[in-house]
Parts: sequence; structure tokens; C-alpha cells
Amino acid sequence: MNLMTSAAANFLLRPCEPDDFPALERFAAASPVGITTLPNNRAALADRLARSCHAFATDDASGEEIYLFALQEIGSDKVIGISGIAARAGFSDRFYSFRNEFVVHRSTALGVSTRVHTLHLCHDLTDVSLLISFHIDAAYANTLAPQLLSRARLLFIAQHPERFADRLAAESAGIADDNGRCPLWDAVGRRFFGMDYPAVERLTGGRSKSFIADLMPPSPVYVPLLPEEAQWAIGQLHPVAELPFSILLDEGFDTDTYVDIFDGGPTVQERIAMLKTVARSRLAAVQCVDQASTAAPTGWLMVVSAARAGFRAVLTQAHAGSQQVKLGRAAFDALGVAAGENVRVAELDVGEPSVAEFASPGMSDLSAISAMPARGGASR
Amino acid sequence: MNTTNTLWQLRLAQNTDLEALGALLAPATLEAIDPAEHQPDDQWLVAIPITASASAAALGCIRIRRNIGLDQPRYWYHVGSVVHAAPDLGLFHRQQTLLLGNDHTGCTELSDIATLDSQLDFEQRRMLTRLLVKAALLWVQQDHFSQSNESSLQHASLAHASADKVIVGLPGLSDSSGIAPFWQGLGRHFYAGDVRLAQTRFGELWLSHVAALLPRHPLVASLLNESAQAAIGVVNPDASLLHDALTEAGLRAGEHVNLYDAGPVFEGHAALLRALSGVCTRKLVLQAELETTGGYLLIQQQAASPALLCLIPACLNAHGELLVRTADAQRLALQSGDHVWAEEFKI
Repeated sequence: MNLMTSAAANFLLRPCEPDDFPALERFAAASPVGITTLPNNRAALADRLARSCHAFATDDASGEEIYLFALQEIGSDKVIGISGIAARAGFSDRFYSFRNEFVVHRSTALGVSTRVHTLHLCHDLTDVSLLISFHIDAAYANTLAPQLLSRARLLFIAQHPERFADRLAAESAGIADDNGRCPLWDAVGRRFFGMDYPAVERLTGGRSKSFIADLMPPSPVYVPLLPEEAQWAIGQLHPVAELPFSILLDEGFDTDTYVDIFDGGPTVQERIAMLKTVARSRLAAVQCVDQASTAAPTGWLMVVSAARAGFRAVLTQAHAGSQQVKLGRAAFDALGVAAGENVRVAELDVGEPSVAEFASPGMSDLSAISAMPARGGASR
Repeated sequence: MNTTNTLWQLRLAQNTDLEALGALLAPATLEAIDPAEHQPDDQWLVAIPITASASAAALGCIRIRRNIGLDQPRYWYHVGSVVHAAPDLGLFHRQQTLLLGNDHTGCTELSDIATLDSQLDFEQRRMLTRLLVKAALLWVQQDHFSQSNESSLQHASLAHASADKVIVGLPGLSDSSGIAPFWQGLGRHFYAGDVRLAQTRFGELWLSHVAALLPRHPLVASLLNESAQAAIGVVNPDASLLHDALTEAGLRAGEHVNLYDAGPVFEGHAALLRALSGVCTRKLVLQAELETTGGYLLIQQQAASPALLCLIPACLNAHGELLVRTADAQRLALQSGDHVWAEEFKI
């Protein structure tokens, strides 16, 4: 990962506030159809933001909460990234995925065994927590900003486990062209709707995806019967999803089991306790020190405050002991904590491999994609 | 050959028929025939013209198998429907589905219906195909009748419902080299081996063996390519004579198709076919001269072994008795006053 780290740690992640509506609107409008869970509709987006504000504020969590975070440079009001968490996927509804399964058929008489790839429509991930709405300004894609934007959510979950499931999933956008045409949808969904996916989204008027999935066949899809283009699309990433996906992959998410039922993009999932950042994280008492007097920093550290409504996350070069962490003034002030207060910390590797090295089993060559110009990242 | 005035006898194949059957059937099929071994669940009827020459050879054959699939599983695709509807969105899609199963297990199957085309013109082939189908159904109905008299309660069971059903698989679409578009769109994705080799090696059993490799879950037909979808339930044009003969006899395409070419399985219940055929018991009356262009298919009502089944020029008199020429009756060893099952057969 060739990150611009020298001046890149000057970021703050915090809960979205009502004033962030224009930024949300900007990110929603910039996303192609099917790429984001941010509705490109003012009323729906305002409702989503209001729900997030309520989620951070309420002491009475029911599981239907959505938490939206905003990333900004310290000292600037400009929002450069958005990310979120849905407490329960498919809350009050079912969350559909295709589960990759391989069945082996054998004919003893013919002396033949065949391994057949099938996609099973399933609700396995209903009620798991879901990472959503990852958006980063393209200008910051090669900085540490995406790392904080994505991974600090995990520390928020670790800090407030009673509000989340013990398993976490995230959808990644699959292959689609600029018009939203998806090979997998054309091969499967279109057969049942007679229209392309953007048209279905317009027709359903923003209803849940499960509403659409209810109209799809419950029996497994035998992948060998699909056109090659559709087979190839299963488990493939849309270029805009490469960056957030690479972070999830590094966290240790399982990437092979589930794919999105519409575009075939990978839906990753893992037990939260098994994720790298969560496993590394711990509480430590925070101290503020002058930058000049700190010992030589050993690496990048994510630090989040323990508060819920006043949640703050920063990335700084500091060393955390098992029980104590010393932060420079800028990071300390940005967190809004008092000296001696507990914060949650986790080390961040910056020497992580690039996206091109992350091609997962069953996924095609991503080298061509990695050669594309730097761009912002988005996930659902 | 003048089919109008020709007598036809239909009987179980014998060792002496093997040469004639060799001209009618593929070598692999012929190997399965052993007339010397009495197999009540697997019988072959041959159709022989009764001419002045006593050594006339069989010109057609049909195989009658009862209780199929009980020793070796047989498979078909059941063609069903699933509806995906969202009324408030105006979406309503009916989808065709295919489900692999053994639904016709226990049925009676007519198969290997063949005529010696080199010695028959088109009309003769059409007549003989109709005759073979009708004769086989009469044979099955007699069997059904004798069994149903044994126990009416037992007969009402579901197992007997299968036994009462008669099925005939019709060939589906294939190209000039015998490759079926349905197989190209479905089966070959699950068995990449040489189909012809498998057919040669295992005969018709190759389908039972290949079924183990095919999808067990319902398939939505719209996921297949267009050629494969278009072939589902379509009869090969070369089988039009058989199709017409089966339709005339009252069989209809059911909800099943062949695994290889998706040719339809025609089916009918023995009791219903009997009612449709108008078969009933007639008393024979012989007379020296008979002016008729009509014919009747007869089967001896009593359990003669082997039963006599024949097509004979005949007509009804005012008393409902069946008039036949004395000379024809003598050739077939029929006696005046005999009671036979008879069904009119338009020649």
C-alpha cells in the first residue's frame, strides 16, 4: 500500500450530524445505481440521517439503528468520507444473499464425478450487523483516511457490543457498467422481472431489496447453466469497491461464502471478535504529552473515545502500552477526552499489501483493475 | 401389399422373429431381447401380415414393459410452473420449471415402435404404426381388465394407479448429427463425456446413469439457452406418424420430458383408453362373402396362451355381431360363435 502517510494522519471520524446533510447528498448523488445504500433521494436521505442521529443518542437500542460516521480533516469542516453500520441486517425483514455451494455428483456406472457450483438463495446473514455506505473522496483514496474511515467502525462496535450482533457482514459492489447493467442480474434476475436492475429499483420505489428477492426463485441456481459473462461476474468487484474491500480482506473477513443476489459482488462476513482491529484493540488510559517529548513512535495507532454520542476516532503515530497511551496535543484534543480517561486503541499496519495482491480464491485477475487511475472507494 | 384386405396377426416375438427384429431395431436394443425367456413385464409384439405364404416375416414391432423403473431407476424431467407475482407492481411472471424425478415408476411403457420402412410406403407405415399402438393398448387393457377383476379395492390403490398408466416417450428435437439442443443447453454442462459412446455402452440405461450427474433441484427453464427452452416438449418431426397414432388412441402429452432431448412423454390411463377405444365383446359370425372396407382389431377374450391378436376385415350386423369371412377366420383359427374383444380399426 503506497500510502501518503507523511501528512495523512490529520483525520477525525465522528458521528454524522444534521449539518452533514449536504455531504451525504453529495456522496449519494455521486454513486452509480446499486453501488450504495445511501438513497439518492432527499427525503429518504434526510430520514436516514435523522435515524443515525437518534441511534447515537438513544439509550434504548432495538436493533434497527443505523450509525453514520463522517470523516474530516482536523481543523477543516469539509467532510471527506462517509461510512456506516446497520445494527441488524434485514431488521424487520429478511436479508438475502446467494451462498456459494459446491455439490459433487457422481455416476458410478459412467465413472464420472463432477463438482458443480451452485448459488443458494439464503437468509443466513439476517440479523448480523452490517458495514454500510463507505464513501471516500477520490483525493484521499491513497492516504490513511480510508483506513480510519473503515476500521474505526470496528472499534465503535467493539466499544458498544450490546448494540450489535456478534457477526459482521459487508456487501461490496459487483460488476456493473455505467448504466447499472449487471451480467448476473441479466442472467438471473432479468428472467423474472423482464427489465434491468435500475428499472427494478425505480419500479419498487426504494423498497427493500428483500422485496425484490421475494420474487426470485427459491431453488439453487446452477452456475454452469449461466452465460459465461455472468459466471465470471460472481464474486467480482466493481472497481469502486476495491479499496474498501481490500481493507475488509485485511481485517480477516471471509470473502468466499456469500455474494450479492443482484450483481454477484462478494458479501464478506466474519465473527466480530476475529477481526484484526477488534482482536488487537484494548482499553488504555489516555495522557496528553507534547509531541516533542514523546518517545519515538513505533507505528500508527487508531484511538477512539469510549463515548457513544460523542464518539471520536483519530489515527496518530504513537505507542500504546497495555494500560496507557500517550497522545500528542492535536490527537488528544480531537478526541475530546479528559486525561486519564479510557480510550480504545488498536495498532494499524501500514505496510499492508495492495489491492492487486488481494485477489481472493475464485476471483479473477484484479491486476488490470489495480492499474486504473486512483479513485475514491465506495461500498454499500 | 394391399393393406385394406390384408390380415394382420400380432403376437409375442419368438426366436424365429429375431432376424426380422434385427432389421427393425438397433443392435444394442436387439441384444436385450430374449424371446426364449418368458418375461411378463417385458414383452415384444410383432406384426405379421397373413398372406398365402406362411413364412411372412414381421414388418413391425412394439415393446410393452410393465412396472418400469422397479429394477433400474428411470428418470424424467417433470415440467411444472412457478409463478412470481407482485400484483401491486404489475409484475406477474409464470416460469416453467424442470424437476428430475422417477414419476413414471411402476407405469406401463410402450417403446421401440418400429416398422420396416424399406418394404412399406408412407400409408402402409402409417397404418402399421396405428395398428401397433392400438394392438399394444388392447393387450394392456386385457391385462388391466383381468387384474382389475381380482380385487376392486386393491385396484383403487395408488400403486395400481401407476400400473394403470400407459406412457410412450416421443423423440424430441435433434440436429442432423443427432445432437439434441436440449442436451447442449443443459445436460452437457453436467456430463461432458461422449454421449454416443455412453449410449452404445449402456443402451437406454445411459440416461439412468447420467441422471446421477444432473441437477436434483428444480430448474427454472428460463435460465437455459433459447434453443434448449424451445425444445422442451417438442416432438421430432420424424415421429409424426407415431405422434398421430398415439393421439388417435387417446394418449396425450403429459408433464414429463426426456432427459436428453426433452421429447414429451405421452400418457393415458388404461381404463380411460379402454372407454375411448369403444372395445367391447362381440360374437363372431362367419360368412363366405363379405363386402366391407372396414376392419376390426380382435383379441381372444379367453386366456388362450399365447392370446390371439389380429386385424381382420369385418363389420357388424344388425344384432351387433361381428361378421368375418370364413376364409379369413380359418386362417386365424377363429370359430363361429367365438366371443372376442373387438375394436373397430379404420384402415
